[in-house]
Amino acid sequence: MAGSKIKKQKIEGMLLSLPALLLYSFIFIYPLITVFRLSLYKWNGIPSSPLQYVGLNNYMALLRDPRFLIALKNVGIFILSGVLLILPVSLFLATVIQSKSRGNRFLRTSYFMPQVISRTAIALMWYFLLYPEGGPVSTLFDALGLQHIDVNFLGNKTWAIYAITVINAWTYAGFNMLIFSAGITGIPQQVYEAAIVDGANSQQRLRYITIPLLKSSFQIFILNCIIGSITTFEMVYVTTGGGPGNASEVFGTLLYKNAFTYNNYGYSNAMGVFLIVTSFLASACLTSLFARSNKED
Amino acid sequence: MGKWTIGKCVYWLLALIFCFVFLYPVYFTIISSFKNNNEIWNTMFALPSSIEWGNYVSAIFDVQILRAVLNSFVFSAGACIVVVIFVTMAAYVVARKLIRGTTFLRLYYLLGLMIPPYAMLIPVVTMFTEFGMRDKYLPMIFLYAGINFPMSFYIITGFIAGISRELDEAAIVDGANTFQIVFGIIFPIAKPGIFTGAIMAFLTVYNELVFANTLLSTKAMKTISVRLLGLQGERFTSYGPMFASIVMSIIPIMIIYLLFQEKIEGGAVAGAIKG
Repeated sequence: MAGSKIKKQKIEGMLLSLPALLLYSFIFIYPLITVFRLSLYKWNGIPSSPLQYVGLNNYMALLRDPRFLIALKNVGIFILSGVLLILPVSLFLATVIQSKSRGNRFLRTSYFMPQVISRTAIALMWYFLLYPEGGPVSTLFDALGLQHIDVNFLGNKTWAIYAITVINAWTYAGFNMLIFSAGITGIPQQVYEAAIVDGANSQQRLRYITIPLLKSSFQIFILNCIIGSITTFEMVYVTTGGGPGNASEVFGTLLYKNAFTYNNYGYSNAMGVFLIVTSFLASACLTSLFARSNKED
Repeated sequence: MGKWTIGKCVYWLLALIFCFVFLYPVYFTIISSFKNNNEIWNTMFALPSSIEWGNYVSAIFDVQILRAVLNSFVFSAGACIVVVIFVTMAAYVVARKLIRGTTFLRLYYLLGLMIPPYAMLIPVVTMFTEFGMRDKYLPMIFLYAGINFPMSFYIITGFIAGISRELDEAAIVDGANTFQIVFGIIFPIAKPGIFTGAIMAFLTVYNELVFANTLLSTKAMKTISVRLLGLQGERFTSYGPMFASIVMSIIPIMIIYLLFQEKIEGGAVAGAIKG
């Protein structure tokens, strides 16, 4: 009796798992395996044309591609902008929304709001903000006596990537603010009270209590920053498409363009494998690094 | 509130400046959406002298932005429903170890969290082309459900694992089968967690670009992201309709955000801490 009940439960368990297992395997795992396999072939994307086995040639082409180096440099700029721009801003915003002042909810909402807007809408909004002939940024620069600066930063080879990182920071600061805010909530109030009794001012409390006790928030930030930068695509694609020229290219735009513009699907799949392996390794390495450092505490 | 030192004033001034920085682009978009073409440029704050409803008429009939909003809603809602049902069933089996290999299943599902879905763009596009699934609602809904599966699974499993087993056992004694337990007992209790997972999936799909841009090519099927992206390349005699299109595509998601603010913010944090 008990045996048949367990057996029945097992069959029901399998039936319950089946839809998810099939869906996930079909949508996620099957394409994942296919990317690895197809990265060894040359293909122009036309279904009827044959695949040509080329071994690791696609990877060689990838590493020799000067645009790969540009993408590598731009991903580095993305990571740096995360640490130098998003980190301080979102930490600051977290302290603001934690201060429980009047209008707190309004501030919190306005800081986080960009996160829910579609990236294409954001790109279009910023395209108009930076419109060279009378856009608001150009109007502001005129008013400040900076007429000589061309505000079309997204169309400028040198500045495009930096302009994108600023738009990216505008989008993600509120999201990272919540990570730090959740970390601050986790610090017991008594620690601050004890510090106030001992005469610590607000800067000292930030320096000696808040920041050291936010270690895990910093780790989450760094992990998201690095993985997010490696795999960044939409933000660049919708603002500059990797241009002008190839100035703001990242790995994602190279993958996309090589497939759908240059019909070089082998290269794209090799880039796909590169992205999968790199982000997987980066998150595995960082997670174990953080785990080790937390154990030492 | 304590006394106002210079440091404190600077601090709050900075807080307000950031508030301005985050809100201004939206403000500019909204005021411009009501202006005629001559009034949009060379100003930062000026309100429209008369309201130009024609921009919205053009956004609806020329850009067909409402159609795009509707499409985005269909994909989002559809993917949400599929994800919620599939994930709840799968998460219950894994959380209760009902079958062998649940440890493997868990890792197998969570593997998806570490992979950027667009890296698999080409096989997915090839698959969709081969089976004639482009420009169709159902295949896209299942694609989006699959892409969002790992994150929803991650958020929802945590909630289900926290539910006491005694409830299941009592139901088994009463003769309930596993399906009845999942949808009659677990589902109502885990609703807050399930809802968080669902709304995060909704947001992701509503704003998704890469797969929609490659798999939806007929105008009637396009989502807001694809439609807005197309606007950059199109020639318009006036900019007002473009601003109106942006406004109309972000209003629904803003309303959803304001209604479910705590869920969305909580879900964003939960999703970030997946390391």
